[in-house]
Amino acid sequence: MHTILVIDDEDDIRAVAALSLETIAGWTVHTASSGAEGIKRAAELQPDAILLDVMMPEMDGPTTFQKLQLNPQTRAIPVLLLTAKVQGADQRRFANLGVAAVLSKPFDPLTLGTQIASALGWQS
Amino acid sequence: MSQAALSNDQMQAVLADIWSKSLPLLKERVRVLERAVDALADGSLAGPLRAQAGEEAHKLAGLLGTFGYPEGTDAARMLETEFDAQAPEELIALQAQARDGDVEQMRDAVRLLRKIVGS
Repeated sequence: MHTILVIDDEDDIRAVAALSLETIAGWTVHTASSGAEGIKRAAELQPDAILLDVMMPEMDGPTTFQKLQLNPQTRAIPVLLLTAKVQGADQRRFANLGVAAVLSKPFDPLTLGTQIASALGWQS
Repeated sequence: MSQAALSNDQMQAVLADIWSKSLPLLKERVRVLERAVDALADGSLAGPLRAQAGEEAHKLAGLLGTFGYPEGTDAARMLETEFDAQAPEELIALQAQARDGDVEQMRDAVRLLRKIVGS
């Protein structure tokens, strides 16, 4: 069973993502509502992957990712960015940060786990 | 992946519960968009409200499709694009466009969003 940390400032997105990944994918899900909290929880929990929202107040997703990369405790954890930005230039900019994948919002709760597993090469 | 712990019907019921709990915030977001479109129409849209409207539209665009309202995502995305002008000269251009009739499209988008969130 995989463990995943969902970092998103929106309560409803965290709730739907957790519901989807727990009940359909069967993973253990932890959540954080800010980049700062997410960095702390990632170091504590050592999840198998992090699903990270791009647009968050105070510390956005790309900045959070860069801080995760600077920390030896969290550097190796694959990060998937979740964004509602659909412009190709935005998607390329995020992909060039070195994240494992860029996933689009809105996501389908029925297939979110499959998308993540596919991006990370996890076996179904 | 393991077998789903909830049936599809049960999952839909939980999603409906999350949607219901989210509605007050979603309605407030749509109200911000409505205020911003009104301000755009009368030429008084200032930077802070425009920026807030862009953020609220972005949040709605990222959420509504997840709950089965792809047309809401499209409407919110259109509004986000309109409000996402960064430079003052672009804001001026946006207000000029509004005078040319684009504001009606934005009002239609807001009306659709109001219908979706029930406000």
